[in-house]
Amino acid sequence: MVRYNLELALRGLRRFPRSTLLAVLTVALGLASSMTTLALLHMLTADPLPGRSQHLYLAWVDTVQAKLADYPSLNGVKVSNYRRIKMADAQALLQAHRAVQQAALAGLDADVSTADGDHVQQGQSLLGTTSGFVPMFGVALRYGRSWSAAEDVARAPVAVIDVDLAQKLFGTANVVGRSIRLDQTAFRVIGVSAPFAPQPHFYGLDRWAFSGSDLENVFVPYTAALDAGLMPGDSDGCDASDKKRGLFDADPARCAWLAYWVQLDTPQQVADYRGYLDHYAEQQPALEGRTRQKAQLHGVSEWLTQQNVIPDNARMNVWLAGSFLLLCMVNVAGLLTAKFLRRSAEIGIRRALGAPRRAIFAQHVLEATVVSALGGVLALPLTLLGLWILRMQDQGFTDLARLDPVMFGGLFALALAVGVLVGVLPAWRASTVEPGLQVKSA
Amino acid sequence: MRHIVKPLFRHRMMPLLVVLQVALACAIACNALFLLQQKLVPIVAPDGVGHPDRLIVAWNIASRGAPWPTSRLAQVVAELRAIPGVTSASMAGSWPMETIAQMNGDVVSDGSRVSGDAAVYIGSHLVDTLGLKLVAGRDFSATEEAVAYKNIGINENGSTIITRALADRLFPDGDALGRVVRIGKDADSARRTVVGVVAHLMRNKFGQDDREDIDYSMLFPGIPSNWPMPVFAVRARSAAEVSGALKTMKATLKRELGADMIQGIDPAYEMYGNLRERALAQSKAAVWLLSGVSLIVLLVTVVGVMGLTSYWVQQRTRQIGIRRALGARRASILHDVLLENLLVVGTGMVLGMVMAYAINLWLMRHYELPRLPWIYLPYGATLMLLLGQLAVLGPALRAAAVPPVVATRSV
Repeated sequence: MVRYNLELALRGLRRFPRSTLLAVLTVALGLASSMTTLALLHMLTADPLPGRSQHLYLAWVDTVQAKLADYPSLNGVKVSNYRRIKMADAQALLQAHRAVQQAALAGLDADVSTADGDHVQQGQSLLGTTSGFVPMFGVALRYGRSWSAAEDVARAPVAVIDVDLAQKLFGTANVVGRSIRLDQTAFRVIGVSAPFAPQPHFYGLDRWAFSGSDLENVFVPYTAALDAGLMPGDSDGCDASDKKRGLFDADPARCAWLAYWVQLDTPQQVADYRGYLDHYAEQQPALEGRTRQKAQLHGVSEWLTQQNVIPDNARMNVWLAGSFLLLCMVNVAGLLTAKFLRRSAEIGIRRALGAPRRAIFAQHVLEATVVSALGGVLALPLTLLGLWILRMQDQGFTDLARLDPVMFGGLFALALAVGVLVGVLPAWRASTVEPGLQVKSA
Repeated sequence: MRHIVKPLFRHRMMPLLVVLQVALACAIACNALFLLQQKLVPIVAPDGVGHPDRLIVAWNIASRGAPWPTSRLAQVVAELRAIPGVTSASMAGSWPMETIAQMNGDVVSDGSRVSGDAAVYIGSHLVDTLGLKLVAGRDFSATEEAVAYKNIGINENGSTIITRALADRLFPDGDALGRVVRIGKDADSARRTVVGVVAHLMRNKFGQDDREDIDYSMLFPGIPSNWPMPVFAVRARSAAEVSGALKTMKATLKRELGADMIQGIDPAYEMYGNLRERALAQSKAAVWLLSGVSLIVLLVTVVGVMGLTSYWVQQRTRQIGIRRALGARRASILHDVLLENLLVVGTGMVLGMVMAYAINLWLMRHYELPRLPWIYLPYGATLMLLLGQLAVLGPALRAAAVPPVVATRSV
């Protein structure tokens, strides 16, 4: 039966190739625009670290004294608020070691060169962090090892660099044991990692949220980075006694510049840690009598929602493209109705010969689905073209516009759904054709 | 009229589909064109800067520790001005088309209490270096340029030069010269006297600007104090002297300030024209995208309406033949088909307007988007009606060409 219907459907489509082509093209345009925007949104909302991110939490205690909401000299330039903490608190929390794993981190900038200074990569992004980062965030090590808590304390000038940087500097991947210079200071490479670029860059939204080109390719103990003169760029505010320094030059001892991430595996651990943080904040003599919130724990997805990292543009484009798809569907429904009713006489004869309404309906829905499936096939290259155009837009996040297998499957699911939806109305109209009337006039 | 309306109700499906299509297209096109216009504003609006190919801008200069003292900056500016081939040099807190640092403030005219949100550019000799065109009043005097600010200068009294658009906004009754504007809504805000008016100067904040307020800018004289990110700019006498001036400028800034800059943040040098291109690249890309979308939406609709109407006409070939046999002229058949289309598309359009407005309200609530100006609606409506008529012209002519003899045949 299905084969018979399919044969009829194909024959029907071949009969007026021009209107069929038009319908297929329209469906393809609608599908391609929707898939393009959906694919981008899909990439933007993807889990940054699958399997890990649901156990990661950003811990925050607000111990900055008399923080100013604005810089007095700037009209309306706000002090950023990425829930970073001061170094003393980070050290105290690290010392207490209450979470499964923990790390303090901050983005830094430096020129990275080989020890002899022959090969220089200017203005690289570094991550100053602690020993917990590499295991907790699952940075894959290709060679060597990461540093230990003891090396953190000893302020050891060691570094883990990624394999791309190793290639650029040394022309080879395994550079464990060699020496690099960060600005002026020598660091020993103890590990080489795979490139680490989770999207969004949830642990350092102060640097960037989405980027196809930016990533931290050097990981160093932040203590050693400070010794090397690498200073944090900005902060979430400083103690009021710190007036002499500039806007882009935070004093590491007095400013909140370290993000503190912890791994907590069970709800019980989360609750315990929250209690611990509150208790820690209560114990700070400087915070006594302050009413505003002193401590907080954010999960990754909650943090991303709160920081509103998904650009409005990406969502708005999905709405725009979705309504365009709707327009295309109405359009195709119209085209198909006209197409089906043109063969009213033929339908009448089939009905007169005993075909039930159901059969007529099924045949025409199938025909609509075939149109839509063809549209889906044509939409694939159009979607790739659309994604290419999006990547040309150069807005940072648009670099991520790619089609992954999930979305590839989604395209065909959408095409079939659209086909059935679009076919229902015209097919129903075709199935209501009265046999008698048609047979008479034909 | 009755013979046009009645069949529409008898065979509801076809007209209904056209109505739905037109309504959707109208709603999408209105909103897409509105977004498009927003992105177009900074591209088409004049920025007021003369000879962009002779203006070199240096930014991304960040001081390590405390910001440089103004005396030091003034000395650097003097050295820049002494470069051969340079006619004017400036140091400023922010710069047109450079969005890292923006200064914006609510300005209120003293007296009339009209207010506006304007960009503020604080710097030395900005009128000359930017190549602005004074349309009234004068440039800042040497005394005004020599002002010593306690802070960046936003909250301090003095004089100002504003754009004509801002002058018209703050002083709708006419002459702005000699009048006083308050920088901020508070009674104790700084007051500045308008000494000059320039033709145009674009603000350096893009996004939600409409055609009018993109040109709301003010200039304050002198070198901002206590500012960690100075911008330097020099204007060369001719395009030929640019490369020499650029080389010397780089050397001068490196020699004078290089030792105190934050490591890892390198100064950027660019011609103002390129800076403008880069700042507007995103808007341009969005304009292309949105115009493509609008065009395709309209195209799809026209083709759809055309397809439906031609079927609809074909269905009625016999009736048309009968009418022709009974004495209806070709013109009246053509007229009827067009009128019918006008009715159907008109209904869709009214529905579309309501939808467009509803969508805009929704977008306003969820995304930072201004209200759709009602002026879009009649334009969108006319466009839709014209396109509808265009789409139906072919089928209508075919209908008019139906010979009366068809009535005698059974189709």
